[in-house]
Amino acid sequence: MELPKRVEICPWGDIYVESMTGGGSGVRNQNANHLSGGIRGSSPVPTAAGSYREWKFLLAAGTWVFTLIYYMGSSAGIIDISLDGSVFVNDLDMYSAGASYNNVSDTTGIVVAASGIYTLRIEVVNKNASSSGYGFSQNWLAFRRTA
Amino acid sequence: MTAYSPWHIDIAPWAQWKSSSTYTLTRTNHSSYLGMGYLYCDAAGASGKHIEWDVGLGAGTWQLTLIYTKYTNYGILIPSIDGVDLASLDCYNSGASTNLANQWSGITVASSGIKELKFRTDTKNASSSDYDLLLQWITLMRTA
Repeated sequence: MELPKRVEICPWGDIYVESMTGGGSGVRNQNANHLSGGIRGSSPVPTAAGSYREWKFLLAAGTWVFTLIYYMGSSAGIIDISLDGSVFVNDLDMYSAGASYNNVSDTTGIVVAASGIYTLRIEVVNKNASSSGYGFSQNWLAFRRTA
Repeated sequence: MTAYSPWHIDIAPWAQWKSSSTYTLTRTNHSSYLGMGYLYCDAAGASGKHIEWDVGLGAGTWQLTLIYTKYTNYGILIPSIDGVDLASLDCYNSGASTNLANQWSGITVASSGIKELKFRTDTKNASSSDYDLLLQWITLMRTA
């Protein structure tokens, strides 16, 4: 049986694991400015690096493209994105002086050696010097197999 | 041969459903709702109506999350997976309350396969005027 070539995850639907620094919690924020109508954010904004979210899903062996749709703001941090511990997006800066919606990060050529269940982790590792916090918000995640 | 099954299933209830027992179903786009819309299930004053989706679930422990709205004419929702009822959810409120989330955890799926996810409204809060439902988003996530 052929495995799916497309995986879509609504980040505000549910999360496998979530950990916020500074005692905050992950929250669903509804806002019509966001594609999908909302984001998974945090409240209060984390005050240190180390917050992360994880989702588990099935990926077939092959080569994949990953798309993240996210919010940029004045209290956002810098994130790494990894698959089963292997970082494939380094230091994505989510800071913007003003609200910036529906930003897109595409990563191609992600090689999955064997079919199975994988853990995607988005983790705040730092912040822009101009940012007031270490927040991170996502409105959609998608994987598409290209080979 | 290794069998695989997903651990994360997102369902936009307004996209498609397998079947429904005489709810009048209406898809509505609305910018105030997570998911940018909803599926309205109009029971027209009658109890016992239901709506179903087929989902492929692997054996293990699962969590069901529903994003929904409460209102004056909504019923008490009973979800079930392959005929096994989960805890009921009273969807009545004296005013509109949107983008609510309810989670059912520790759902045991004994064997992998296609399961029927069913939502029904057999009863209602004494203060509610009907048995309707407003469904915004459904997520099934395997936790073990």
